[in-house]
Amino acid sequence: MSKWTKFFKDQTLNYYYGFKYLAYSESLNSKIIKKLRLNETYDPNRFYLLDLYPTRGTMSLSLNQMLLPIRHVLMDNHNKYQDLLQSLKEAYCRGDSMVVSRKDPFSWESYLELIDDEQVISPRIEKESKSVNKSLLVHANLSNDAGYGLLVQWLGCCARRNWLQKYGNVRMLIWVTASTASHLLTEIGSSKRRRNALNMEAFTNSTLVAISESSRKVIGEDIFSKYAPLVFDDKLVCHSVSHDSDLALIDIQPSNNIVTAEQTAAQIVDLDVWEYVVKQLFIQPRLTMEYNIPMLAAGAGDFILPRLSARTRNKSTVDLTPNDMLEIVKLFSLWPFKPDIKLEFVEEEF
Amino acid sequence: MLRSYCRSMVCYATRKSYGTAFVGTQSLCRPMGPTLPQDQYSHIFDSLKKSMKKPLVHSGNDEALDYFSSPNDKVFRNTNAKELNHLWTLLEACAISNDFLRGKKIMENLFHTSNKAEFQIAYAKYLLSWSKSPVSLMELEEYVLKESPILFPTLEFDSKIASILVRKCLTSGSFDNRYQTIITKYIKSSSGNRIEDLFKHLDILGFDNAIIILKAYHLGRESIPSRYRDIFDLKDEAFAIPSLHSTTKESNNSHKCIEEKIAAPTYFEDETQLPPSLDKDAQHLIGVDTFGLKVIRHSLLGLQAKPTNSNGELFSKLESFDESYAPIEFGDEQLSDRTINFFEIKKLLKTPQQQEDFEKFLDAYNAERQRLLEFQSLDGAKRKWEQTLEDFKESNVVNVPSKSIKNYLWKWHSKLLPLIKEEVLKCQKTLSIIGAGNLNSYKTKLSTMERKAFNERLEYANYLILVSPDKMSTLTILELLKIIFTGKNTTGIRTARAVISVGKAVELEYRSERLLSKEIDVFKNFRNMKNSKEFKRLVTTGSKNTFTKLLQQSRSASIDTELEETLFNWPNEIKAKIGSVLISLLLQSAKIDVQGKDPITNEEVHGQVPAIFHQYQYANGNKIGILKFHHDFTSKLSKDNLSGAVQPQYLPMLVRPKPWLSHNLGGYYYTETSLIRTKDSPEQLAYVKAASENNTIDKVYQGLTVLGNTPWTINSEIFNVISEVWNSGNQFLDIPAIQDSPIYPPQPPSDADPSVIRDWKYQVRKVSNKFSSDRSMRCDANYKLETARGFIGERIYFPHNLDFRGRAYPISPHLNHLGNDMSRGLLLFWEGKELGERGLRWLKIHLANLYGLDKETLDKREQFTDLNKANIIDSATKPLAGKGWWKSSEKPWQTLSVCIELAEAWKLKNPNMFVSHIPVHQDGTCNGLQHYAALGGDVEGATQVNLMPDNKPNDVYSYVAKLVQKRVDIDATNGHQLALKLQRHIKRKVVKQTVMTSVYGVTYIGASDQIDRRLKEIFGDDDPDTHVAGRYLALQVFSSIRELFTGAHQIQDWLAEASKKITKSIRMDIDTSMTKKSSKSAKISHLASVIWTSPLGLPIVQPYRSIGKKQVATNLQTVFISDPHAVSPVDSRKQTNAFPPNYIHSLDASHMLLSSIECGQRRLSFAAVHDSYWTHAADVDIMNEILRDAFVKLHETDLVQDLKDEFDRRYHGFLVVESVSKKSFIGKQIQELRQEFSKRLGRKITTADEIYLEKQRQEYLMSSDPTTRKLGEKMVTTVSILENVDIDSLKPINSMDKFSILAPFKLPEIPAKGTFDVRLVKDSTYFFS
Repeated sequence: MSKWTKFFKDQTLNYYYGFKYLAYSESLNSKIIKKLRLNETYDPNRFYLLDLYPTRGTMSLSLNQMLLPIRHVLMDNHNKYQDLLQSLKEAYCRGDSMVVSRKDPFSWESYLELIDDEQVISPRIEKESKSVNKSLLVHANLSNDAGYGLLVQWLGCCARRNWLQKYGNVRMLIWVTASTASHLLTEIGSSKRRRNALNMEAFTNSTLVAISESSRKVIGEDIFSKYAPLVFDDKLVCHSVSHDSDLALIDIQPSNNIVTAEQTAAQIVDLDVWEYVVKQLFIQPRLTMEYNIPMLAAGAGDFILPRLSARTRNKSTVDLTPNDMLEIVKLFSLWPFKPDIKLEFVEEEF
Repeated sequence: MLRSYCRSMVCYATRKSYGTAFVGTQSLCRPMGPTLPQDQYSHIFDSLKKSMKKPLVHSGNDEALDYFSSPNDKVFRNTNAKELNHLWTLLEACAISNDFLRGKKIMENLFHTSNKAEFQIAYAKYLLSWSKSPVSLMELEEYVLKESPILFPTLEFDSKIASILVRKCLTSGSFDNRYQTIITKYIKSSSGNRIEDLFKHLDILGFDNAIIILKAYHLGRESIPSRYRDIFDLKDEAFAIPSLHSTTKESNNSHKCIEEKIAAPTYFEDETQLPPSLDKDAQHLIGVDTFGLKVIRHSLLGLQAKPTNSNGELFSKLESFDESYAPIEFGDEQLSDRTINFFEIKKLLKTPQQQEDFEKFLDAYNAERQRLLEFQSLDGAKRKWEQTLEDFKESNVVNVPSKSIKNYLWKWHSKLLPLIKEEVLKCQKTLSIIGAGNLNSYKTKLSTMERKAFNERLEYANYLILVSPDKMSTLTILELLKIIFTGKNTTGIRTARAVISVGKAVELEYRSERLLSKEIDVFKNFRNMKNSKEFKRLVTTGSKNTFTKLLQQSRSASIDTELEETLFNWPNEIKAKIGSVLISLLLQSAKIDVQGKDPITNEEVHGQVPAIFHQYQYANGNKIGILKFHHDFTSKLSKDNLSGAVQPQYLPMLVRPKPWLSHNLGGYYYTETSLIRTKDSPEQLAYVKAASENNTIDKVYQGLTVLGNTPWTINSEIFNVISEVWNSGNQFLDIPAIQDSPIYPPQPPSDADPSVIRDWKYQVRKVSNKFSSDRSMRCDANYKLETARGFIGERIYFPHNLDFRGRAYPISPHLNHLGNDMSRGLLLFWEGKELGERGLRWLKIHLANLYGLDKETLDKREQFTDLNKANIIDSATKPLAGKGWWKSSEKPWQTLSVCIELAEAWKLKNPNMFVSHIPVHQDGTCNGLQHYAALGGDVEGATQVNLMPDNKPNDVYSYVAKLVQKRVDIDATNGHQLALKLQRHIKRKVVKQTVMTSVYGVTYIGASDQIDRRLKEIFGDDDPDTHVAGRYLALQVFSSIRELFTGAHQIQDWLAEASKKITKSIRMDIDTSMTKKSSKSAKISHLASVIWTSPLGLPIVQPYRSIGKKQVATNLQTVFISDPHAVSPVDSRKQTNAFPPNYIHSLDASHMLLSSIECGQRRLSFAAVHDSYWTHAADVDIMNEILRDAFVKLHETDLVQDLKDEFDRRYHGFLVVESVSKKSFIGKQIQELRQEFSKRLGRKITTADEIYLEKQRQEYLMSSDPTTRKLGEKMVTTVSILENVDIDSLKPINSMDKFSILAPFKLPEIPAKGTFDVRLVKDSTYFFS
């Protein structure tokens, strides 16, 4: 038994705070890291690793060991995990390369404090570049209940290029439940496709890297065969009794932001409009544009439908590709009588 | 519709077969003869093996009756209620639209679904309509006398039916004495029938026909019901022809109201003009001049004291009271503009005789004004569209700018109208196809889409043709506007709500027309009588007043009948369908002009877009349909000041409300009002109706009538101050400032940090919320002020009704004494009473109470007022320009009102002589706890809530705070960190809310949050400990209350335990098939609500059940609407949580009504806001005595014991699912028994089987046959072996040991009471103070 296997085994833990995570397995971890070909992008001692909700740090340790970041920040505000991370840091002790932070990864302020105020990490701004930012890698565990919502917000940051994405195309390796993975990766045409899957496609290049055995059923064959993820034993998944052993790792690489690309070209499409149109169209995901577009706003149908390509008009929302959606969003933006959607979020309770 | 007709046929057929099955089952229950089978019980098991249906209680009409919560109450529930509701309204619709053929068919179905009384009403309604059509007398007679007895064997040939036939005879020109044959037939049809019975239906029979009958049968005046008698009292007093003329002229006018359009007053034509405000010498209000307000003012114009006759009769009458009203030779117009302030006149009257005369004069004068007011209010919607219709037309002629609202509305209307007309034509065609009877062959010719539309139309066609397309068009537009501006949302409305509202508005319109046409019938009656020879010959001279009075009486009598006979309103699905048809047509027609910029060329573009569109949104995870108004349109509405359209219905009354006599007769004269405010709970209505019919709630009626009879008036001085503040548009006390549109912070760039975007969104939401709430508060205040202004100088009344717990509320919603401080400040008692020495003291105490000194001794409070004399006089004389002492009061407007009176009183040489109109309040101190303390007999608790006499008021909140302090101190000495932190902060304020709400069942979490909020005020929002500290303190508060109110808490626990048992119980008469089905999922439907009778006899039914929602497909979308007729299981958790507080509310409501009755008898002006009782300062001592006596009287009986007895009776024979230990002797025994039974059945025994077996046993035991009884005594069931077993001692050790059994319903014993003697309350000064 390796030192680290023993280390993790010795520390019993009954607190999960709703998270699940991979038990420490050197071989699996290295398989995953190799599959991700991280070392091709991140040179040792030349990048920062931001580890959000690292839980017990089982994967964090491997990432650190294999990639050797300049600084590896383990951010978690859960007490028990905090203690364990602290002991991990002490046992590992690779200079000051590992920093355990008590900040709440859920709060936007944590990042401002960490980077701007405390300057614990200082990634390079590569906003103009189309390739992945080589100075920062994010690893996060969002397998808890609030995880899906948080991930969707981060996805929004990929689109808006704010938060960590202000540094430009920051790659994110994220552990999620199988259902979250399937939500985000659902293919075009699937009746289960929702707006987040479309956004994922529109703003990022994402892949499914690894899943536990029991996740396969949830994710479905289509996604499975498309991404051919590594499959690991359910027994390796640590979780509380009330949870299942589904767990998946997705690799999110923000790159092809079609809206921002369009923005620089024509200055008429903006993200607020994109968000509004996508949200509205996915309320009735199985209706065709013929019926769906008139419900965008009063009179939207009269303007958009005659100008829309026949191909798109007959598609239902789940069949729309990001480019189809862009066609609609552009037309909506061109519509002189479009409503002011900037304040649409002030939703009233009906 | 035919579909539902067919459906009902099917149901009928099935029910028949149920009937047979029932007979079969019943025979099993019959006492066994001597030839019992070998095993005496094997037949029971045999029957269990077969499928069974529930035995139903059958009435003569083959109607399927069931019971609501308990069969022991004999309150029936018609299991066909839903179908009956449908058929009933459909029959009504057919009768109105002259579709008599279809009506006949429906009636045949109705006969099988309704009970006898309902059917009798329906039959007469139908017959009356039919008889008024061109049908021949012969055909009618044939139907009534020959066909009906065969079709409807239980139908009685009653006086109403006879009256209809007699009238038909007499009006169809048959000059032979055919009508006499009918009368003879009627008299012979039943031994009790008398010719006089016909005169009960004078509204049907007609006065002229009545005279013929009177004459023909030589009958005297005593044959006529007393309410009509005077009109036939031809000897003593006859009529003057001229006076009759003037009244019938009026009747003609009323008739015209329906048939013709009233010329629209100009203020509806011009958006900038408001309706003329009544000149009451009060300042006109500027401000939110909304359209709704126009309508309110328009209604209030009914109040305008117009000289009724051009001779200025009113003024000469007034002159006798006040010389300044001497008739002056003005033109009519000027006379009508004269201000009459009845209150001012009243105050000038010196002698009691004058006062009495004046009151009588007002009674007579206001009766007609009340009718006008109610009709103008009742048909507020109608009035609104009628006037607006004219307005639309006008605005089309006048060249109004194309974007004006009026122009839009007109355009929408003109596009919508032809669409509705087309739809109505389609409906008529659909109906004619049904009428022709070739429905199926017609349908086969249709395409799938057409067939779908046709089937859809079948459901609503009969209803849609009842109201004219013109009206429906306007009504749809205005109803949507109204919802959007009275709701909290300004951009959209739920489709489900919109469709129901529009459907409801159409129904309301239809019912208003029905009432009006009833009135017209009465007028016609008079006209006919006037024309009859007999009448003319007899009439010589007479009194006009009598005549007007009689006219009013007969009008209200006929309206009462109409209201009473409105047994059902349109079913929700019909409303939804009608609303949806109309709205979807409106969506097609309503367009607005918009302008925008082409984003590429930057050129301005003009175009049209729909004003309203249908969209879906997510709300709390549910996808809901919304109707959204275009922003350009809504912003225009608020600019044009058209927002806030509110119905002017239910205004205060000008005459004494109709005394409460039955569950739906009382309060307003021309508008149906229900005694109980209830929503979708037919059970509550059925119980109240039953109680009403059994005359057990007369005291409730009495108490409510007293509340309604208290006359009020508007405090014009306060009004003037408020309007001055109001008109400035600035913020003042609770009134927010005027703001045109919200000002949002600038939007950050798209790639700003998420925290910046989040903060911006937060700010925007905050601004937006503040803007909406300010706007709605201003609107609300405006409604109140407008209503108040309309009633300045008037004598007004507030009719009251009850919530389901028996608490009384004024029905008029905008301005009443239950409202906020401003509303209360605006109201005065109409009657004045000289203060006297005690009164002056009470007035001073009242001022101190309002100011916030209600915890001091009475002497100190009085002193406070005396010490502030200068401030008070300054406030009264210079309310706005002065020091404004009153503004710092807790209740500033009411304080100012008292300041004004006190200042006036102090001006007198002897202030005791001042005539006061201020209602002085006496409030219970934590009234809920007072009732609890009395129930539990807790001496210390009773002391702290002032039930015990003391020389100073005790404050229970401070006392509890002290108890909490003790506990925290102990913890602190033990080093408890939180305790140390909180030790110095345990104040009254921290615990107050939790103590108060503990009576109303606040939960641990709720209490923790309350305390957390208080602690945040002390330690700041960011303190990390307040949350945990809140939880810690909540526990301490609960324990302290328990310590103080030990007995009360045991009672509270008992109440909760009892309701848990009730709502977890199973009825043995339950549909066994239902139980069987659900037993698979180990769930049993619990159907019993907690029901109890308040000490005043009011049955209280908790309505909490899982709401059955039904999916209804409409043109727009599928909507989910509640189905009140569905049998739905009770929500045990809600029932249990709500019962203790509801029970206490039923007690405080009883206490109030008891006091109310007594105050009424002692001729006190009395008003109440739940536990705050109001009367004149001079009468406070008397009221105090009354309310103490009432409290003692209430609590002298053992209320909880009575409650238990009632529960025992009501839920007798019910079974409860209990858990016992598997290993206990009884657990083992039951397991064995179940095995044995399963063997006999050849399958596993179910809960339903166990219930059935026990039911059989009970039936045997109750048999009159001794052999059968013996059989019952010997029979062993899984329930019978629990008799005399204490289940509580057999509780399972853990969940593994748990074993569910059915036990007989048995409540725990009532906890012992403490030693407090409630009679001491009589001597307690601070009980209410």
